[in-house]
Amino acid sequence: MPTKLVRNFDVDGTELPSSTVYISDEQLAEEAEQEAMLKVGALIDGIANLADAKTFLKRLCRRLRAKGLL
Amino acid sequence: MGYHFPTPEVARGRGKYGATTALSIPGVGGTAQTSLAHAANIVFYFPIIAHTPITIGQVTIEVTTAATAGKKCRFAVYDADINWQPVARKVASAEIAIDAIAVVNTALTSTILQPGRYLEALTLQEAATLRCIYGTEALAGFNPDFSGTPLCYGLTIAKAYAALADPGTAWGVFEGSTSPFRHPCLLQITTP
Repeated sequence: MPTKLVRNFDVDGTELPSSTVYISDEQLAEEAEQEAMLKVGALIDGIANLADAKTFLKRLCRRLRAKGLL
Repeated sequence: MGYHFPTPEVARGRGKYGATTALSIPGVGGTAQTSLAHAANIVFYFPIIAHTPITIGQVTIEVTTAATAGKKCRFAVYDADINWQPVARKVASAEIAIDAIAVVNTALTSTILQPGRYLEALTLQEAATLRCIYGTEALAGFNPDFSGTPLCYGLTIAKAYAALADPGTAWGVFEGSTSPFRHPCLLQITTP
């Protein structure tokens, strides 16, 4: 089962023993999907003009073709 | 109109079972979670409200994309004036490590927040992505520019990474957004 690191610090900044918490596969998948969406969002935010948009779409089509999805 | 007795505020409380205490953003509800890249050398302020006296004893953040080894951030809570500007610092954390993907709990000096307006403040030594909760409040109002970004994800001011000042440094940017405040700092209320 996937885990997540939990770090603990005292008032003065001294690091205390860390621990781990279990997270569900569903939560892990949701987090991975969200990270992926953030990356896609950042790519789209980086499109400044039509030429950028065309390049983005060409690369996207190439990737999808390589995966046999297009 | 007849006389109305003042309605007493009801303590909001927080969930607790055994030794486990739920985390809180006082006076703020949450609708969803997200991650947000936080740049370095900026002070981010997030409005919160104490409706009744509460005691806080811990701040928790979650780093989802880490900064490089040894990099840290700082957290503080300020009194806020009527313009939601920081005034006196109520409590400040030690430096908090942000150099690993982890949930990070940092103990705070036990501090009573009397009913009132407060600002959580956060500043990073190096950029890192933090998990955030979308707040439901509009405590500081809406973007004066309205346009397509009428909401606000944070009140900010550029400032070199250092101990958070007392009194606080006034913010000067209302970060217009399509979604509401993204709160990265959750508090543990030890006495609700």
